[in-house]
Amino acid sequence: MSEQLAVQAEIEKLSRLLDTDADQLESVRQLPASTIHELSAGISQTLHDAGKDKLQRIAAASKIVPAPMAAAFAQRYFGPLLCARVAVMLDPGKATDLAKRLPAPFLAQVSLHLDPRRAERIIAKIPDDLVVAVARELISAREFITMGRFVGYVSLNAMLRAIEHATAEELLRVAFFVETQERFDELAAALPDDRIGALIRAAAADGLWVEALSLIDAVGPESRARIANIAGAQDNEVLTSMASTVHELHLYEVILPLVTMMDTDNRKRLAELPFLHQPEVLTAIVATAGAHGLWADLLPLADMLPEDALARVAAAAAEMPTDVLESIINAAHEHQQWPALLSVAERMDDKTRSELIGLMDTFPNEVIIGFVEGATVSPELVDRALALLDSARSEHVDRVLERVSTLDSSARELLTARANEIGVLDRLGPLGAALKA
Amino acid sequence: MDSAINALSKELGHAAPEGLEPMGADGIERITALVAEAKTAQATALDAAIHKGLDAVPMLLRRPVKKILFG
Repeated sequence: MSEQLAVQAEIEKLSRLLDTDADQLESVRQLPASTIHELSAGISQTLHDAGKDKLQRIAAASKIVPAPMAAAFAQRYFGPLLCARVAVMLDPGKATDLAKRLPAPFLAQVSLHLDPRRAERIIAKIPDDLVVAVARELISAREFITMGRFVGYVSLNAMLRAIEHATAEELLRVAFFVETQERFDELAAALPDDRIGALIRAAAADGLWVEALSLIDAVGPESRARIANIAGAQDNEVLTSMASTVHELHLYEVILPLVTMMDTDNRKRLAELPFLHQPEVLTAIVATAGAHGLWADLLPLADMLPEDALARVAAAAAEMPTDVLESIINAAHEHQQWPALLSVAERMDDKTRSELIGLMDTFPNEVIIGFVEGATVSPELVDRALALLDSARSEHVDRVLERVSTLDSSARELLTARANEIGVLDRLGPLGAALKA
Repeated sequence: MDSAINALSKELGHAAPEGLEPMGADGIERITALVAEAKTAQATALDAAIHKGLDAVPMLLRRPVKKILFG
């Protein structure tokens, strides 16, 4: 889960623990999610330890009371809070025996006060049927935080049965609070494509993109690619809703890596989305790519943008400091996206384009080889690469050509053979001369 | 800042987590107050539940249960 989304989830859990509104915890937003989680765990420990001696004596007293009577008492007189505090002090077998004698609605109330980490051995002994009944109570009572916290502690079978009848909206809200990483993947794997699609549409309909994106962000790469494509295949209204939330909450670092995982058709549809062509949106996207090193994710999308939008991306990139321009070259090299870089560079102003080419000189030989390889994939690319070199200042171009000419002879022979193979050797101009030097 | 963190640690009964400084002293004091309120509310609710339960224990068991609870 991205840090921003994780912070939001942790604040909501803390507000629940302290029985206050999340608005009261604005200062906590300054902390990393892991620190908020640690703070919550510390407060939970304090609350569980408060009155411990008294609670231990109640646990001891319960041993002399027959189980049916203890269960009746627990429900009628003790109530859910006291039961939750005493339960974790009982032998897990005894606690489970009592739990089996209590109705699911009452156990759901108990679970609101229970720390699943402390009750793990009890939860493990509770039959799936009862777990499912309690979980359904929690969902219908919209106790999503508690449900999410327990998901990692019940069996997979119980979890899947519990969510079988949950609506897409309920499922998204629960998923937001799930803490166990492997459960996200199991959950995603168990949901068929049409149910994932329903989740995405519910996110748009109910304003739950934060929840949906946190789910997508939390699953492993395989599930993420699948969900990203199901999301990318939704209609423009849904995609616009997603994009506007991403823009509003500055969640581009979550969404950009998903774009790379999308099939070409879905990525193209996203690139054609009018919302994304707005100048302030494109500027924010480029700024995020620069700040988070996500140019490898942005380049494939940029290459599919309409002319005006691509020009805005190039203009915004041109405003970036040198280290960002270097990261664009790195991304193009590491992910074989030289044609996309070419598209961006072609639309930069002369000065920045020249600097970008000059920067190539600071990279190791394999990047120079990658650039020549990338430029000699097709006659069209050769023409574009040569035009690019031609438009740059000679001192920058000369340095790059010098580097090409000093490449290992076997590398130059290989590149020459490759250019010859696609029939562009005689069109390489100064690049060809550098290769033959 | 140190005194706010110390006060929170005291309220928690153990060391507060490291790295709370970005919250500022006011933010930490707010959390300390909320923890104190939560502890008080919980203690009141637990005491009420204990007394409610004890009053309902059958006569036969009341004496041994009280003995365990109160010595």
